[in-house]
Amino acid sequence: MSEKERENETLGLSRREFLKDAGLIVGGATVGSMAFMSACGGTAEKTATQTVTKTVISTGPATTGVAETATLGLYKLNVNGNDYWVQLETDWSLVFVLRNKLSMFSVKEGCSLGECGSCTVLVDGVPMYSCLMLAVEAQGKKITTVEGLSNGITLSKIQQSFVDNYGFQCGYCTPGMMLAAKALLDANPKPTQDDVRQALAGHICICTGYTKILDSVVKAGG
Amino acid sequence: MAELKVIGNAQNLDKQSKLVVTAKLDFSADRNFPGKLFTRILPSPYAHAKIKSIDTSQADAYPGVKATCTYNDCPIFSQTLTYWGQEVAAVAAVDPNTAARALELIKVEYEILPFVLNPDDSFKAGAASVGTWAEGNVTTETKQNRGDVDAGFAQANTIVEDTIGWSGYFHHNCLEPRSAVAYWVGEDVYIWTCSQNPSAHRSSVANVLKMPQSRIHLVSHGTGVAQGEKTTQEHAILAAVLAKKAGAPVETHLNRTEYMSMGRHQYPGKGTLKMGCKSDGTIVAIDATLYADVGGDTDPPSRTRAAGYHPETREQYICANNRNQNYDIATNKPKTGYYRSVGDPTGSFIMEIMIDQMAYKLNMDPVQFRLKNLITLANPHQDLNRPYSSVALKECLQWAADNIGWSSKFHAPGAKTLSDGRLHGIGIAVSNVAKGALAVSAASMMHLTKDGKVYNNAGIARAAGGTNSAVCHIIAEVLTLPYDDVMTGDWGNMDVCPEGGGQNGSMRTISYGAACQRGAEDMKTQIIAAGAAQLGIDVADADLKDGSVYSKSNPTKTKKISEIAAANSTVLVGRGYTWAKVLQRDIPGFKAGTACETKTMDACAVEIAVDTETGEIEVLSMTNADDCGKVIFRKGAEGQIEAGSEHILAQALFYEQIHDQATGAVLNPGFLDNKVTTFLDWDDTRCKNTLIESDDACGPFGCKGLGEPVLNAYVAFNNAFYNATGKWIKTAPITPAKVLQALGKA
Repeated sequence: MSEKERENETLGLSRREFLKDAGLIVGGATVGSMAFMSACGGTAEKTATQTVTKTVISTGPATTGVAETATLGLYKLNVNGNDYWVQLETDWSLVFVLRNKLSMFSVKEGCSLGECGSCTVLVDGVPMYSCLMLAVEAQGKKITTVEGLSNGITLSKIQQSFVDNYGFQCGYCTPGMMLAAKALLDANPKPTQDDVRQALAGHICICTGYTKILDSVVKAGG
Repeated sequence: MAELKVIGNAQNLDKQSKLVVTAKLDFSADRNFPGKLFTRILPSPYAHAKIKSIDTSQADAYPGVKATCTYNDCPIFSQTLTYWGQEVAAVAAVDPNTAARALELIKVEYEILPFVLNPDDSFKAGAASVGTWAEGNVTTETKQNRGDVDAGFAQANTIVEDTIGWSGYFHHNCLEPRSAVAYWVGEDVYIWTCSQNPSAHRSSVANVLKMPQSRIHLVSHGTGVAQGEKTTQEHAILAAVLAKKAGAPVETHLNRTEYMSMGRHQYPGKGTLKMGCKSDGTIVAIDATLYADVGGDTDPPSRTRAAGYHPETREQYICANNRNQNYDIATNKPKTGYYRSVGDPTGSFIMEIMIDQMAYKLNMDPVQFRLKNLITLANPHQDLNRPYSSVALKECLQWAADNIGWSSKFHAPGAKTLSDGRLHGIGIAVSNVAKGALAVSAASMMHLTKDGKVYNNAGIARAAGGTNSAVCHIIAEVLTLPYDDVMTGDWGNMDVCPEGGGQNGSMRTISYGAACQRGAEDMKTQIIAAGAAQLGIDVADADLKDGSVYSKSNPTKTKKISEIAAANSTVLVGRGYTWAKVLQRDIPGFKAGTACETKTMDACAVEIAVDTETGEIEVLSMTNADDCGKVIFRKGAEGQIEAGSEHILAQALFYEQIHDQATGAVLNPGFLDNKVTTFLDWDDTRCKNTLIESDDACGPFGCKGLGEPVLNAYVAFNNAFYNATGKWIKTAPITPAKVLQALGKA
């Protein structure tokens, strides 16, 4: 056991628990694993340019020896066509970073469990639950949020169709739904209602009524 | 009434449409402040325990942690824990993961106490104490009596008696979980939260924090639906307390698992009902003993819940002799509250099964039996002897029956097998929901811009259904302006908006709408006075039409509102207050000014196929009718009934929170295991809905309001199941396991 691991054990944070806490078991992707190794003192090389070790804050007797539990690094994220250099902890979820580090508040965190679809963003054009993805996994990929759907002055066809067909009520699930709809329409410009039903099956709404959402997407294509 | 130009127009869009689709409409956690901290909450691992000691020192010292709190310094926590998942302590840290790790460093010593989950057990003498009320597990016992029940039964030649329940433990599962952001500036706290009633919550937060209301700056813009769940503000109070301790802005945002145990739930119900009828099908006596399972809730409203089943068990049907005995029972389960209406879904659940049992016993068609006994406008509220301001229960029932093809599809129980071997069944049910506590304090305030547009500052949050848009219809109609000329200014911001009177109790459109109608009339008076002065005519000779003030004696003299506003030296401000719940005009038998009851009424009919091998139920067709009074914002109203009908499916067939009998843990705290209706479950071609627009004599422009009440009659599924199989399932939801059990196969 390395010294660092022993320190973690002292704190009651075993390596396995850290893995769980960091969400890496769920994330499980290559970048995440590298980040994990790095965080645990491993030697894996990062694709990011720079790794900054988190300063150890001076602690009281009970926690003397607390080591960093996640690594702070400077990463480049491409969101809506713009590159952002962001100081990231490796265990931060993409939804957390988009919202709280980049102020992309269109991304809604509905369940944090990968069940409701509210936090959906497009990653290289594919709808992904951003609560289940680590921000570091998004390096080198193109992320699209609702802020990138239109300039806000002229609405995109999808946005206009949601307005015209009243494809929302409270509006909380709407951003995720619109992004999944964009991915569908990009691949299939004239979807049927069943196509939309399948494409949006991972999205939950409890107040709008699904028919109006289906209509909004079908008509955005028609 | 003059022809309505704005109200009910299907073309009118939601006023906040573009904000929603660009995601610029902000929900409570959608704001960044430098140094904002994030919160995680330690849940109770026990269904009933007392905290013997709690030590947060290690968590406090953990790098990145800025504040912790427990029952010692935050009033939302309690030393006695009465349900699994209850808040024990909270940590605010630089990010949510750090806060989560620090939770594990909090040392808690619990005294584990006996718990009781089943309300029937809790009700029994000698049951373990739930720990919420010192007086015992039965938190309330009330009686309601009318007429002479024994004499009523003496007239009856047919009697049915049965026990129905328990209905399901439903969590609201709002897409936006409870969340809030708070920070302090000196003695003042700024709170962004999701609230159904921002004006009342400013005052309740002030009371809990022992601060003057003027020091609480509370804003609730978006609520990612509320449906009765966001009627309290524990999460906002927690954010405020942590923010003060940390000296930094703090966000609380529950994840789904936390929300499913820390949020509120519908209180399930059970009833033992005895009903007597004459041979012609006239109901002559109802004796009901009703129970509500209020969970581990310590809030005062929990004390009158089974009594909330009265609209269905005492009022919906004409019956002179009625006796209700109501019990609220505490259990060690997550706390309860109002769920998409007060007690009506459960009241309907208990009553409508009994109505069907009686109809079958009398050998009467269930629709005809209901039509014979349902109230009409000619029947005042039987307990209070007050008129209803409108009643279209029979119309709802008839529409739902006609449109599902009841007369050709109804058959004797178990009498119809489909060609694929499944059993066919059809069922119907009705319900009614009180609308508008009009006596509550609701006020409107609007001002006229110099170019003749109206800005309404609404003291209500945006919730599903579009009340902000509905009241713009009302204001535009009064001022003869186009819908586009009336805007919602800031809303739900209690620093700038007068008290909107709340959105709980399904009373926004009717109560706040009434305040807006009066506010618009106040402004109309001022516009006419200013216009008359500018036109040089007498005020008595002036009136408003099509957006212009004109002279009644010389109609060529006119001036547009925009021109009047531009030329006027002062800004016109309209103010209005809601009215008491009284008739606004005469109805047969009652004069204007009489105190009245206002109810939205609804009916659901459903046709199902039951697979007797798998227990699966397929919906073949469904119809829903809702008497919501005059429709104000048509797009919103149509959305409400559609979403309500979708949710019927979940409540009736698969939506339910399950508690581990050994520990009290919530076993399915998520959308996947506690399943709501999804895109794949819903086939709109099988569902027909309608809004029945009775002209209400109390609400503004004849409206009553909605709030998805249609889902109250989900018990139609249980009735359809009996029609299909000849067996009763008297609980909800009707899962495949229950189906097989009812059919003797499991």
